Amino acid sequence: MESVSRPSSLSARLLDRVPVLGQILQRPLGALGFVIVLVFVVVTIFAPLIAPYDPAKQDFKNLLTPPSRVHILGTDYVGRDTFSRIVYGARVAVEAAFPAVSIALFFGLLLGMLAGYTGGWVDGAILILVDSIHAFPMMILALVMVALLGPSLTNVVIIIAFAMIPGYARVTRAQVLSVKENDFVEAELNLGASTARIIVRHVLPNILGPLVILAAMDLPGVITFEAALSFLGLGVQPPTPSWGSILSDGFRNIFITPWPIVASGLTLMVTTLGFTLFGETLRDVIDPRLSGTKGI
Amino acid sequence: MATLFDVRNLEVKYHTRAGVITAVRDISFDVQDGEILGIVGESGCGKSTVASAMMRLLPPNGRISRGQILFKGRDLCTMREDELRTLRGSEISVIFQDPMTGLNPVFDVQSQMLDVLRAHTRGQTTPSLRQRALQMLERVGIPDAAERIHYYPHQFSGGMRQRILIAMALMSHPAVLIADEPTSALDVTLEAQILELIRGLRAELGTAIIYISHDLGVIAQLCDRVVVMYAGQIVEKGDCAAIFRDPRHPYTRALLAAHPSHRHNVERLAAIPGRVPDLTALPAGCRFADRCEYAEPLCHAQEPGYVLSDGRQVLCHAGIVERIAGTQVAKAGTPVEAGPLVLAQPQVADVLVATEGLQTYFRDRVGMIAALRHQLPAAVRAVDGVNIHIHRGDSVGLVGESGSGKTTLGKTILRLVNSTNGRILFDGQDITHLDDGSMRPLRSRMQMIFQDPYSSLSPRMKVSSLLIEPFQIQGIRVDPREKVSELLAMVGLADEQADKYPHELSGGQARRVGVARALALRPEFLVADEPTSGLDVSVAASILNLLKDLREKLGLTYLIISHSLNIIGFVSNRMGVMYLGRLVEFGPTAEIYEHPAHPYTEALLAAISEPDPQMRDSQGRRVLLQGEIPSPKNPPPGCPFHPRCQYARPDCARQRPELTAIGPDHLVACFYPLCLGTR
Repeated sequence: MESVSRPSSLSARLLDRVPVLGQILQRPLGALGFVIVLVFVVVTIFAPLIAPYDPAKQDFKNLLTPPSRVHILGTDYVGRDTFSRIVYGARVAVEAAFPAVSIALFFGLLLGMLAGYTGGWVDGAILILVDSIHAFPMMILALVMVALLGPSLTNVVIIIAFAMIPGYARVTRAQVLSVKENDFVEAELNLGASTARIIVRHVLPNILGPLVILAAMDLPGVITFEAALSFLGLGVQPPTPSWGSILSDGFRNIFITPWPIVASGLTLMVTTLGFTLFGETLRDVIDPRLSGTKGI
Repeated sequence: MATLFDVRNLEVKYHTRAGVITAVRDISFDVQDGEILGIVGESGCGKSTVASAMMRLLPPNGRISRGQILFKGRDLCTMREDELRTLRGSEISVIFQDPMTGLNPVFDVQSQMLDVLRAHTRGQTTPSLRQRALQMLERVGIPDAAERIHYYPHQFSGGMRQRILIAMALMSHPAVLIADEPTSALDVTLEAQILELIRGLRAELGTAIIYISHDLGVIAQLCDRVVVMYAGQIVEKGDCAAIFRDPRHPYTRALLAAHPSHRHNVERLAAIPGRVPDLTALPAGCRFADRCEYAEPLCHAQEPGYVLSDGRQVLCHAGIVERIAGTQVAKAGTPVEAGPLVLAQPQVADVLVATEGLQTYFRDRVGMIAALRHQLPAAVRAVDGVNIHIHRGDSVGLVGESGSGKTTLGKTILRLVNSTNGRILFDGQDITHLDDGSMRPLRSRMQMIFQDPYSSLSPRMKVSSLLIEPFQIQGIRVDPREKVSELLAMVGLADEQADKYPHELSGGQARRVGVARALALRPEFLVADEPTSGLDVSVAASILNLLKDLREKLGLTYLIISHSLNIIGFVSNRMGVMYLGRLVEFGPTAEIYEHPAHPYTEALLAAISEPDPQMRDSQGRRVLLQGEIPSPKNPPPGCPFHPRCQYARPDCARQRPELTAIGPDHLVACFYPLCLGTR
């Protein structure tokens, strides 16, 4: 049966999606966002090639120097190259943001589908659980969890993922409820299809769009949140560079050199802006309401 | 009689991404004081564009590029926006198709009506305006208008809302009312009521009406003169009676021939091949030539001009009009001699599907507190005790107004909806409580064609995958390419369609894919829910023919659900009439049409709008069904139909009539069946 069960090859699906990228690039703000995201991705992948120094290497002859030919963004209070630290900080941002969003997406999808498709008391119970998580202020939750688990990148990821599950669960549930109303679900039942088959082959492909948009729009928030936790000393631990820790280190020496703060603050801002623009354009382009009317 | 509207050589263009589209071209017609002018044609022919242009309410990308629209001698095309505003709503009013979105949900009816009145009258006090609004509501038949004027839109049914919209449109006594498909979203019974209302208001107020519809029956029953549109052009215009008696344009003839009617006993409907041409890629020559049965080589080469024939303007080559003139509209196939239909005698062993006292109730979800207090909400009795026997090889039609439980009955029989009580028998086996695993092998023997063709096809799957799915689910090995092409051929689709996604298909094609998927596993029993809803007459005719052919070829048994008695009359040999979840009449279709036994059936039959203006003369015979179907949460005691029944007697309210035989194979649930002469 495998020979016939390929609904559409990967290339066909990619072709189906390519117009989306084309439409994003047609919009000036979307194109800007896309370029920023692209630069960010390139920097994280090729960090060792781009960074001139080891981000943890200390140089006690050059402490808190202003930008120069040797250190283009100067050095910090133990003589580490600020530019290299920002380049490697991008890696930390990715290591925190992508796993956190993926984990939240996975569990949110699971809970949301269970709630939406099953209905009844299961739905009620999951909603109560999800609402209780949602009711907790994210920052307080983070402080408590770090106090319990100790500060580390892994814990930051777990905390952020946990706090974001409600959003994904709710969106998934709402999508499932509306997709479930379509006659094709009934048509499948009428052919004798199992629940698993209906969910995997018919419900899931139809609810992924909005979730991808939500994930894209959540990424900048998560990057900022990781920076905030690291700024407070609750995130990644030295000497690993994070944009948040560069900021907080810089604060202590702000009157000697403002460069670490200016550089990391701007990077964080531009990256967040880029992801936000990209996510918003993505939403505008594949808004389910618009793509839904296309067929009729 | 004065000329109100004089539209001359109107041309409207839309600026779209695909380029500039000429939506309508060279449209000329006039509207006289107090007349009803019908504009008829399939979807996409430009009817609504003409109406919007006449109000100067085209969408932002639309533009009147040529022509004049003279209203009482003044050209609307050159008028300023503020001048137009004084005309709209006071001199020219409009009502739209969907009564659900025509009223603002956050204001009550009175404030919305007063808004309109204040905009067009000056120096009147609020109480006197309120009085006028109230009178108008009473005039359009809103019961308890004094109280209901304070209701909000959601508290009214669809039919009532359309009445309110008509009241609002006519409050300022406009000279012209433009009605764009005002009854298309309503049941036949409500449609008949609204048409009666419009007719009465015209007689009383002298308002001229431009009535736009795709439904030839409605146009024939209502209009004085008719404009037939095709692909953005007027193809025929003239006197209504003359056009329906002796249509001179091939398109008008084709439309009439494609219209199913229980009065014409035909084997097959004359579907119009192809579809309305894409306005971005119009053919050279006549726009209808590719679908025209009279087409000559000249038609493909040269665009025809208007020919005057029998006082009518016809957009066709003179030679063809001459050839057509006076000939009968050919209902394709051999007309069946009227007379008693030969019916297969029912045998007990032949029953394929049967239900015994079947009930399906729906309950709203209850809150936790209410559940703890055992406060259960009233159940919606969608199906309330139905006994139906469907014989192998039969085609059973099921009719009734919306809310009568037809679809729920179909889905309950297929076990797509769980029954509350009663039994379902399929081929002698009790399937009422079978679990999913035991149902699976049976699923291949009973299938369904869903009402909405797009919604029933998984949007991210190609047609080929959709057609192979049934085999995967049932674990049957087939050669996918061969099977897909075989199934597509069976429903008259080309192999190229296999690679398309559902949204790339037209309505008719999507419907055919739905039929192909339902028939993939070679079922014995097929439930078709409104098989032609949302389709144009010409396409609907081809789907109905297909269903008929497939039944003969594959020996299928049908349960066909439709609100249209004309469709049921065409495709079924036995029919059931449902009202409030119960079967009120069941028997051979021909017999029921000839001699309806239940007053409800009689009323449904009387509500049909026939595409024949002659039928208007027998108006007195029409039994208009008053009121609307009650809530299935709280059906009336006794016979559920008695509050609307014109023959009701006191005992009808006390006791509920059961389905009893009044002839061989003819059952009715009425104490005083019509055809027995007991009245």
